[in-house]
Amino acid sequence: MTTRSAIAVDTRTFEGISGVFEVGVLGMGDLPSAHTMPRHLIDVLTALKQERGFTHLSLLTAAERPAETPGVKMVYAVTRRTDHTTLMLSVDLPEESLRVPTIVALWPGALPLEREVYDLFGVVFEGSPNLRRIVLRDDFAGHPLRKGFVMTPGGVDAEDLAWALASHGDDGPAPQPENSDPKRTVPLPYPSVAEQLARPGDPILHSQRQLLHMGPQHPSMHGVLHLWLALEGEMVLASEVTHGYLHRCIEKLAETRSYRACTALVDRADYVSGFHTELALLMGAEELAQIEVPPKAQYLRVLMSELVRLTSHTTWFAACGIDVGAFTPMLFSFRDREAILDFFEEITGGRMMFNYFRPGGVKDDLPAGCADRLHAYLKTLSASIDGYEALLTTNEIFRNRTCGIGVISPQTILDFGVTGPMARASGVDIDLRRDEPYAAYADFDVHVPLGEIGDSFDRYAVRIAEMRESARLAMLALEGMPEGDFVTPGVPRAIKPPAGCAYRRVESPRGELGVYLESDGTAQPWRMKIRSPAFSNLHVTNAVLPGRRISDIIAIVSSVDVVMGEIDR
Amino acid sequence: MMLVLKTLLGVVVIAVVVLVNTVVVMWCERKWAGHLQSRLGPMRTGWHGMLQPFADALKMLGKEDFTPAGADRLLFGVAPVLAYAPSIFIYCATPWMAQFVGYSFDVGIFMIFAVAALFPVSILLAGWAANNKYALMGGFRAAAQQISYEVPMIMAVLGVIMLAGSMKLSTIVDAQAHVWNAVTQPFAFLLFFICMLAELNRTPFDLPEAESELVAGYMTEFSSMRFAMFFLAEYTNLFTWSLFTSLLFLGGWGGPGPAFLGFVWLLLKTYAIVFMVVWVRWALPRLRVDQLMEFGWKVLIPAALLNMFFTALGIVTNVFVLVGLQVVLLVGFVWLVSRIGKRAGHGAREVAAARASASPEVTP
Amino acid sequence: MVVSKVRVDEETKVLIAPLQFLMNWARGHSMWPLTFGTACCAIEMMTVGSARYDTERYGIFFRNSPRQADCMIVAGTINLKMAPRIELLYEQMSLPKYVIAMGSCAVSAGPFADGYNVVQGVDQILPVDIYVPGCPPRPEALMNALLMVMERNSAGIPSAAEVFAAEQRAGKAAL
Repeated sequence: MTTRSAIAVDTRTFEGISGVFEVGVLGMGDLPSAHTMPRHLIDVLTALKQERGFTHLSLLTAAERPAETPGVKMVYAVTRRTDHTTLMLSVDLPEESLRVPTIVALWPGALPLEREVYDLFGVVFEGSPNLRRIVLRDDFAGHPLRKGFVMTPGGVDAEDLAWALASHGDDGPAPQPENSDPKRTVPLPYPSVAEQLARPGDPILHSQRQLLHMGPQHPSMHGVLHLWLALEGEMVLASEVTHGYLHRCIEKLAETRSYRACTALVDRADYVSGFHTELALLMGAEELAQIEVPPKAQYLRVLMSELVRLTSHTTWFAACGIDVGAFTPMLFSFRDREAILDFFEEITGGRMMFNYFRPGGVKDDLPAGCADRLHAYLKTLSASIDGYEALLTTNEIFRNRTCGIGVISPQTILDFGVTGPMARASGVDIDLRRDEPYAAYADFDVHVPLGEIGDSFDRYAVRIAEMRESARLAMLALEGMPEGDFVTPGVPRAIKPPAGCAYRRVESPRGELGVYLESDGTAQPWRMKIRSPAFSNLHVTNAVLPGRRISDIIAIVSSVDVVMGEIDR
Repeated sequence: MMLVLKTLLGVVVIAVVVLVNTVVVMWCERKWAGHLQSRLGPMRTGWHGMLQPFADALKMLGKEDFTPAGADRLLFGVAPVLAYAPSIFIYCATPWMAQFVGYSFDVGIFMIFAVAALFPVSILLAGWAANNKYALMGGFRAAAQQISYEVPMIMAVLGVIMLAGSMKLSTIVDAQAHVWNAVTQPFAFLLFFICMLAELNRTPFDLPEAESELVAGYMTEFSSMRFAMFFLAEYTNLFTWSLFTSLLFLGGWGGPGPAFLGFVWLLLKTYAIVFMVVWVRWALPRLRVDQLMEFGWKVLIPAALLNMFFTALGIVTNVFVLVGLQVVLLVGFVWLVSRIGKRAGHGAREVAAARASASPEVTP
Repeated sequence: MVVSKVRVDEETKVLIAPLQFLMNWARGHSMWPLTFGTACCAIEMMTVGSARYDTERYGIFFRNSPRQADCMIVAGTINLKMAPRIELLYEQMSLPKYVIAMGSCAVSAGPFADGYNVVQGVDQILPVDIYVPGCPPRPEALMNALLMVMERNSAGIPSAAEVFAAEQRAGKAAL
């Protein structure tokens, strides 16, 4: 592990930055951490970003402070890509003044993250250009992730439901939030829907601008995504991502479950690649509780992660085809998906919701003969992927629909915290499997496919290449599977890690998936936050869509690979 | 009196033949689509799902008829009728065999295109009447698309008319007694086929319906029988245009054997074209609006003009020049279309880059 | 409450009465569900259309517009933000219409039952015809549910929407 060297970085990195106190305060194990005050926050983050090269905002969230010091703690994590160092920064906000300056000017991608914290914790971000609820209804009362917000057992009652059904709870695009000060407000990093709608249409064509709601029920919105679009004809002038139709209180519910029961919850967050969220959660819990994982379990974790990446990418391929108007690719890719799901069923007992990783290892060994059959199957997969490519890759129409569409520059990738295949398609060479090897990835030589331009086609090509790479890694994991225990003996059912924090990240099919865990020494986590890659990847479309046509929206959104369960949680 | 009876009988016979074929085309589409996608398609309603279209149509008849609030009630009612009526009306000038034709116009082709041009009007009305943004966009797309593609379509047929020296369909078929127009006019055949796909709103030109973009396009708000009429019109049109293709380019009812077999030959050729259309639909993605218009105006119309010019050249010289020039056009067209893809598609760079770094060691 | 807006078209009923047998046959052999998935179950809903399960064999064909769909498969969790939209979609569908509650969440909020934002099953909002338990249910289970709806149509059993409307007319509304 990198524990020693990272702590060595710790003191050096924060040296010379004014406003940093109590280095190492968070008790983050191997992650360097520090503490600052709200009034120094912007200066510290600016210094870290511009002088020390911490350009990637990995995490922005909040957690309740202990009962004796009421209030909320803001948590920021920033990453330096050159040496893969991550720093944690916390800001304590007392109960009477839950206000902190916005960092949208530094990272535009922080805007939706801050909105989420505002929504769930009630922290006011001063100067934010658009501070309104993001996952809950606009007329929801209270901030549910505060400990003071008590969930009634049995959930929503008939009275609440009647209230919910009485209105849509959605005010539509609004020009300025009520709680903003126009002088100190940071400008919105993309065109505003409300402003574009307020302007007159083309004077020569006498056209009228219109607001189009795309979703939540729309065939290519991948579930319940909702876009507000300001249109003139078929041209998009501004777009705003709206979501929350699948907010299922996973983070609040996790605070009432044991760590092992949490895996069942987080399976349902990213429901097409459950293993990755399970893995990130358990890596955090294992670090907090100091549980060792035997090598065989690490290999099984790599194997499962790569297989589930394959099923996730086949699902994406199906949606990608349907979105550009070709239905047949779905039927091709789902044949392979079914074949892999059969293996999942044999190994874990579930097709989609696995609950297979456990603190200290995995639930069970591979069944007899399974490894050989799986290996034989994976050998044939490359030919199947050739079949997919024959349908789309060289097709002139598909190329016309995707090449040069939705180009995202490496700078935008950094600004909005985009990770995973989307970042790699733009030529940003990041992959946590290679950069910060977890599980048994240190034993593997992970090839990272890169795009050049960062258009929809590059994102397509990168994912296709990743499928081949995943099949290769899965086969290597099968071949190199060590002997031994698949779980550390003697790990209790309900682990009680000592108080502390952990932030662990894995490379999910959509990018950097992190789980921030805070333990107060009990069997349930004090705070669990999922850093959703699709969340950041999705919000970059606000900046990409303006100026494109309706057909391009579909081609771009489908290349984001949206999973709403993970975005709304 | 006899005339009235004869006319009525003719109308009934033609309507039944067309309806039966519409249903068969629907069934073919679903079965062929299934088999192209390694599925079976309908299996349980009648023998291999033969009765599936009847079950669908009946079920739709029994559904609630619905006019959305804010819709233009008159146009909302008229649009489906206006979509379906021309697709049947067109058959009054369509010959099935030398002796079996509703009314043999001297300008049969003219009449057919005139009636067919009503279809986009109905779609535009449907899109406008429904008071739905998606439907409206679908309607406008249909109007723009079908007007643009009718021009090269008619120009492609002009070559055929020049060869036969007549606009009468039976004369055009008779002129192909020895060699089909598809052989002497392969490029015109290709042009006509492409434009036909656009006229039919089939993939890759299914923009008015564009399920993944516009929900169900101009049909979004239509339910029950109104929707069924659009649905029927779509498949009747598919059959109609396939029939015209076989009449104009594949020698119509001409074929070996006695004369009464002509009807069988005609249907065989028609279903071959239907198969082609279905095949294209389930193999290709969809174009974007501006790409569609660009392709229509900047590629197809100049190509159709060239086709007319070269056909005229061929007629005044000899048949070898005619076919030779057509082959030149075909090759040039394919080259040009692949260039369009290259310009936007940057060749094979990304795949090569991505593949090289992934280095698949997987060799079966 | 909301379902009171549902009305059975009496005129339509009278018109088709003599053809009831034929109509039942048609409804028993053709079922167009709405393409609409909210959560995890939607992936399994996609799967029933894939080559391995191929629901089109039975005449089940997914349709995007609620106007043309017969059956709403509620595939996933419904929360307070989604609830009014679900209700709107249901009202946009034309009669006769059926609702399948797919998965634990749609049946009874499943693992999220204690959440502050999760509706306790879609039957709180809509009259449900068939419940499919499972988290998520296997594609075979969903296929079975769709076939059950079709079988009930063949046998002329009224849909939950009709039953509810009749109960409401009789003054003993359920919701």
